[in-house]
Amino acid sequence: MHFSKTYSQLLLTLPPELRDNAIEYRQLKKLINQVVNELDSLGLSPSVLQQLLEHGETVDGSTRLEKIDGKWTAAISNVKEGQDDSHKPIVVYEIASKSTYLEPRLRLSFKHPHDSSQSDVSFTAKPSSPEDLQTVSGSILHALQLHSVAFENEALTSHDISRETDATQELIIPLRSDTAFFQLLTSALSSLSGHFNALHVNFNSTLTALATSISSAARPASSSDPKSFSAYSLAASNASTLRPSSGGKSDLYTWREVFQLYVEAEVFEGVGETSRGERSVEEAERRLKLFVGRIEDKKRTLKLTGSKEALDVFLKINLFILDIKKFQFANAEATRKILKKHTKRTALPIPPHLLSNWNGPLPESSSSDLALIPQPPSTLPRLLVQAIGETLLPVVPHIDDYACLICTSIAFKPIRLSCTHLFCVRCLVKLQKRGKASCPMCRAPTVLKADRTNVDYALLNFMSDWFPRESRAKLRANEREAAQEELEELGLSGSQGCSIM
Amino acid sequence: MALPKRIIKETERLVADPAPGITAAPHEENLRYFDVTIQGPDGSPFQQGVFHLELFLPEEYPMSPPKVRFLTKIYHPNIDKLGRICLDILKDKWSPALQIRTVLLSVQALLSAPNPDDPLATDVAKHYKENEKDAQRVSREWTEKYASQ
Repeated sequence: MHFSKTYSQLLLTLPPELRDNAIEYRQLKKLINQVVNELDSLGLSPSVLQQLLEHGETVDGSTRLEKIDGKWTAAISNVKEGQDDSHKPIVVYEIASKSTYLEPRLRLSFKHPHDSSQSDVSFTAKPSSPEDLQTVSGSILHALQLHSVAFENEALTSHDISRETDATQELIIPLRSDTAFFQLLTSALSSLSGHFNALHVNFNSTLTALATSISSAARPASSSDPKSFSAYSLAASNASTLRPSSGGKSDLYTWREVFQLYVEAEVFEGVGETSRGERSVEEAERRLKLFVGRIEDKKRTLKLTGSKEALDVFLKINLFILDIKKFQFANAEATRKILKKHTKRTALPIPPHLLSNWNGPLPESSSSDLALIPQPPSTLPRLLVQAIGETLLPVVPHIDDYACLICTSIAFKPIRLSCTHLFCVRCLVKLQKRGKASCPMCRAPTVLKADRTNVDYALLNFMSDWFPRESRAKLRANEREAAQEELEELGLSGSQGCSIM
Repeated sequence: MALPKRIIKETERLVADPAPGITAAPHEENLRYFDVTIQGPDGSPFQQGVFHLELFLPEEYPMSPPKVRFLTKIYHPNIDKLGRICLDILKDKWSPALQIRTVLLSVQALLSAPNPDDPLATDVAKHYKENEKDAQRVSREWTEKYASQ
């Protein structure tokens, strides 16, 4: 299938506001046809042009960008002197730019066979006004064609001529329809980049609102029923009997599960050892579908009405990111293809620094200088995914951030060593019993110095508030294990504690 | 006794998201016993080799280190004829914050950086100290002979 068809079909699946900002592939294609016609009318069919440009390249060695009078110009440099064919006309395709306006043009230079002044092809003087150019271009082109023919006739005796050819004439021909082509392309790309910026700002405010509504739906039970929670403290006499409470109305656990499933789905970016990095559009779509399926039943367990709405918004913003991803991919592809077509049809090579914009970011220093065509912000989907990770997910604290590194369960009750590292009281007691003095994290000799005062009460209360189930389960497990250990120390292992004789 | 949560978690991650060049799979009848393979690191004399190891988590784990041993013959100054490994984190420098994964990565790194000043196989260490090029040649030969798949 032709790309233009695939492209327009893909755009049809996207929301109209995105579609309206897409690159006009068909229109650009038409302009390429006009460029071909324009070149034809100048007598420069692709095959002729190809030959001339190739010649220009071999003489030139390298085409480079030069800033002349505020214009970017690919200038000819380092002309090898004394080459047999150095009098052949040299054609260079270059793109001058004033701020955002790109003006593609052909620079012709050729030498008069009968002039004997020193040669220097890297000529920068330009005819003063476009009108002048228009009037002379026709006749010089005619001359050029004659010269070309003449050169072919003289090819066998070129030795003689090369000694005589020295003076250089230069002519610049602006390409009108080619200018229209680049104008359309760059204005589309820059409006696209403006649109993306607007979308980004919009997205962030949606996200902030969503974070607020989820955090109110997922706040711990204590916030709606303060009596259900009583804080631990070093001074409280009931410190050992207090238990993290259950009860109160909150969607904390459902939201935690939803976010856990979301993180595990790795929809837009992989985090595994072998699958790290950004996912393809197809893979992201597949994973998003899978995730939506998995949270279907979670939706029913949400108790608060605000929660259900928030979940819908959450799914919507993910679909939105997927659309942006598709859209951005399609546009990048359309830009790449249209530039390739441009080269193929006209033989005019796109300077490599223009193309490199689509093959990856340029080095920091040169990007602002060389990015003649505004770069479409390929990073937008990534920025949005990042914003979800930074703004939304932390609204519900994650168990992994409060786990003891040794037993991997919640670090309850939490002991903060003087080296600031955190472990659960159970693992710390085990370390002390074995006489291990150094911190498992930093090897500082802090373990044996820890005592009651090392309990982190602020964190303890935070954990029993935000992780009531995990905290209770850990407390029970700790007690069971401690009792078991005590029995073993008395010489009665748990399994043979009670045996019938 | 039931398997501690930590060992279950570690095993899950080792299987689902293995470290590059390392595999570790628990035995069905003993979930504390792992079959391990480590690929010889590129740029070392063990390159292209696949080395088999066994790893056992003692009852005390993670308070005590795992026991790790090479099953494949290897010519390395810090690994002896019985496959025992001289690596500080497997002995006195063990920390319960380390894991199976980090231990195996350390063993892999030991293949890239032999340390003949702290030898276990004294003859190999002597060879490495006196004529490193020739010792590496032997390491390569052994890799080809015993560790090629």
